[in-house]
Formats: sequence, structure tokens, C-alpha cells
Amino acid sequence: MVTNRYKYAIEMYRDDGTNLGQVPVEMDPQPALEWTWLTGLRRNKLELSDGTGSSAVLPVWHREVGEPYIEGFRVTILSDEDDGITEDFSTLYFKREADQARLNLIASKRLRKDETVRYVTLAFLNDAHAMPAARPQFKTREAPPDIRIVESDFGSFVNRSQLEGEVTTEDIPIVIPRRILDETRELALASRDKETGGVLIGHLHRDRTVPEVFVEVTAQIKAAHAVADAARLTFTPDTWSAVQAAVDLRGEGETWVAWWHSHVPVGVSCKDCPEEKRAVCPLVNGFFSQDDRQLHRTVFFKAFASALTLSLKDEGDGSEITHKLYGWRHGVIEPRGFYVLNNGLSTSGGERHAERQP
Amino acid sequence: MSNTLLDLVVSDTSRQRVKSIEEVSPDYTAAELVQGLLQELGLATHDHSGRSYSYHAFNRREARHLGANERIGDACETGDWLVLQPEVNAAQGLE
Repeated sequence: MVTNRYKYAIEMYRDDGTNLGQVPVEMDPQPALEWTWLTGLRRNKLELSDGTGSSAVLPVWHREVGEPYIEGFRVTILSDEDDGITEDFSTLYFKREADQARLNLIASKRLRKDETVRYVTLAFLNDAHAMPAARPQFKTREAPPDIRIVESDFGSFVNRSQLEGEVTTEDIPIVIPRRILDETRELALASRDKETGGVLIGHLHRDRTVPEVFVEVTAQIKAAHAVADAARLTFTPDTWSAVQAAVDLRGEGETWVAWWHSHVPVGVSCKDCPEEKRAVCPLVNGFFSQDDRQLHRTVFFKAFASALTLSLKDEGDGSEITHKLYGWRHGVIEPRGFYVLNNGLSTSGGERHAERQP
Repeated sequence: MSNTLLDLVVSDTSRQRVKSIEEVSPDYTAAELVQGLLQELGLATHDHSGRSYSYHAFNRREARHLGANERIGDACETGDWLVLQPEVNAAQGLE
């Protein structure tokens, strides 16, 4: 059971200190719970079977001005065999809500587009005993996830890989074979005028000697039954069923570790665009839209899950593609780096043995 | 067709969050059950603009999606595993 007895709000200020008022925010604790769970797994403090079931979310009051202002919040997950794990989250967790509140102020003409704002976050004990909506009645209990973890030598993967982008110490290492990047590139080029995508499957590995947990991508499964146009890709229930059927057919015990999709330049000809504009153009250099973020939150909510975007640059032949990876960091989706495993090298060399939890 | 309470397994679409649910009334429709399970599984219910997601329940034993108005007692047996699958968009709206 997740204990979260507080409700949260954002207070907005102009740069000159004018108070623009408070906005209640619907705090989604799941990304923070998942990040804490992964941190516990990486530090050998939790097992897969611990889940996020027995946990608590509490505000961390501001050291100078005190309650109800907060510096962030604290998540604790209890373990059956240990003290469990505690992680602190800053108010950056609420940045998306603050950005939306700013847009609402602009829409209501209380703020100009060129004005910047500052925000502080508040927490209040949620003592309102609202009548719960009528819901089906049944008993529930957490069951083990359909994930296995493979005991492996982390170094044997890193030694055969090249780092693309920056991986911070907080990021779970992710290893993607170059052949899979090539496959996604070919599919994106073949699709050209429409977005395309799919699911990346693989294994969760653990090297207890580091200690570290890392992700190995082993295959990509193109999204079947998806609906695509130039600016949108809809993953349907049939898409997800087809992906799982492919995973089951492979019989390798893989799990869903990421998803990918392409962005095509809509009505944009890059060859006519000045070089300085291209250098900062999100269509060319990759971006993760609000819809992309919400899809990631909805289906790829585990903190080890990532998202690969491919941005096509229309140079006439359309051959230039930028790969960019996004993943969870402290409960927020951020761009991040990854390891590219060289082609022709087996990934099985570093495995010690596989175990299913529990 | 079952008129007794059912014990089921439910999960998100990736099967990475799984719960056992016990003593489920056979008279719930699939839509009612799905709605009650979204919060249990900690799944997102709305997109960023506030529109409700459409989730479908996939019965693994029968390898089919349940109709929204299907009676759980008619569509499921004790021990069945239902996977909740949303329809979701990746889209190019720049922030």
C-alpha cells in the first residue's frame, strides 16, 4: 500500500516578486516510486519481488520558511529483509505542472509570453474525506512482475561498446547493439513520410560486484496494427498484443525495456534552411513531445525503461538520421546517453546465470 | 457462464506490474472492472491534455480483447490473466 496523505500546490511569482497565486497540482507519485525501487535494486537493497507496494511519500519542509513550503519530498519503500530504501526528490519533479500553470496564466492574459516566472511548491495534509467514487469491490495483492534478472559481468558489456552521449552515475546503463540502431534506421527510412516505431525488448542484468543493474536491448519489434501519419503514431491495444506475442514466440524470457519512434520533417525542407537554424532545430536534433512523455509514463513507467527517437533530416535523399535516447532520472524524463554494442559480438559472454524473481 | 466470485490476475500491458484480485463479482462488465483496476495498478488515466485514455482488457487464455459491455462471469474463468492495454499516441507537438 502506498501512503501519500498530502496534496500539493504551486505558487507562482513574477521576477519582480509579484505573487500570481496558487494552483493545485495532481501529484503523480508513480515515477518517484519506480525510481526509488530501481535505486534499491541497483544498491542490492531490494529484490524484484519487493515491488513498490509498501511505501510512503512525505513532504520535506523548506529549511528556511518551513511548512507548508517544501524543498521536495521523500519516498520510502520497505523491504521484507532489509531497512528498505529512501530517496529524496526536489521540486523539479513538479516542473511540468509549473510549465502548464505558466501557459494557463498566459492564456488568461495575466502573464505576457516573454515574462518568466519562479515557482515554489507547497504541501497540505489531505484531510478532506471525499466520498470515493463507486468502484468495483475486490481484494488485491501484489504479484511478482513478469521480469527476470540475469547475473552478469557489467565490464564485459562496456568493454565491447562505445558510449554515445552522456551517461550520469544516476542513469541506469543501457546497452543497445548497433545492428538494432541500424534496423530502426532502415525502418524509419522505408516509412519516410509517416512516423513509425516499435518496442525494444531485452534483459535486465545485475552485477553484484559493482554493484550495478543494467539493461541490454536484444531485439526491436516493429509496431504492428499501429496507425501512422506524418505527425502522429497511435499504438493500439492490438499493437501491444502483437508485441507480447512476438516476445512469447522468441521464448528468451525478454521483457519490454524501451520503445522507439521516428519523427519526419513535416513540410520542412532542411536543405533550404540556414545552417545556424538547423543546429538548434528540434525536428533535426530530436525532441520528446508532451504526447511522447505521456505514452512513456503510461506504458514504460518502470524506471529502467527508455525511449529512442529517430529524427530524419530532409536533405532530398532523406538519409541523415539522428538517434536520441530519453529515460527516467529522479522520476523525470530526460535526454541521456547509452552504450552502443559493436556488431558481430555476442552478448552472451558476460552472463553468469539467469534467475526469475521470486 | 459463472455466477460465483472469481479470482483473477491483472497486469499492465508490459506485465511489469502484476496484481492478484480476489472475489470479483461475475456481474461487473469489463469496462467497470477496467476502470476499477487502473488506480490499483497505478496506471495513467489521462493524456497530457486531460482526455481519458481508452483501455481494453485482453484475456490471455482466450487471446482476445473483451468487449466493454461483456459480463466478467461470461468472459472469464477463475485463474484468467487480464492485461490492460491503452490506445496511446506518440505525436509531434513541440513543447
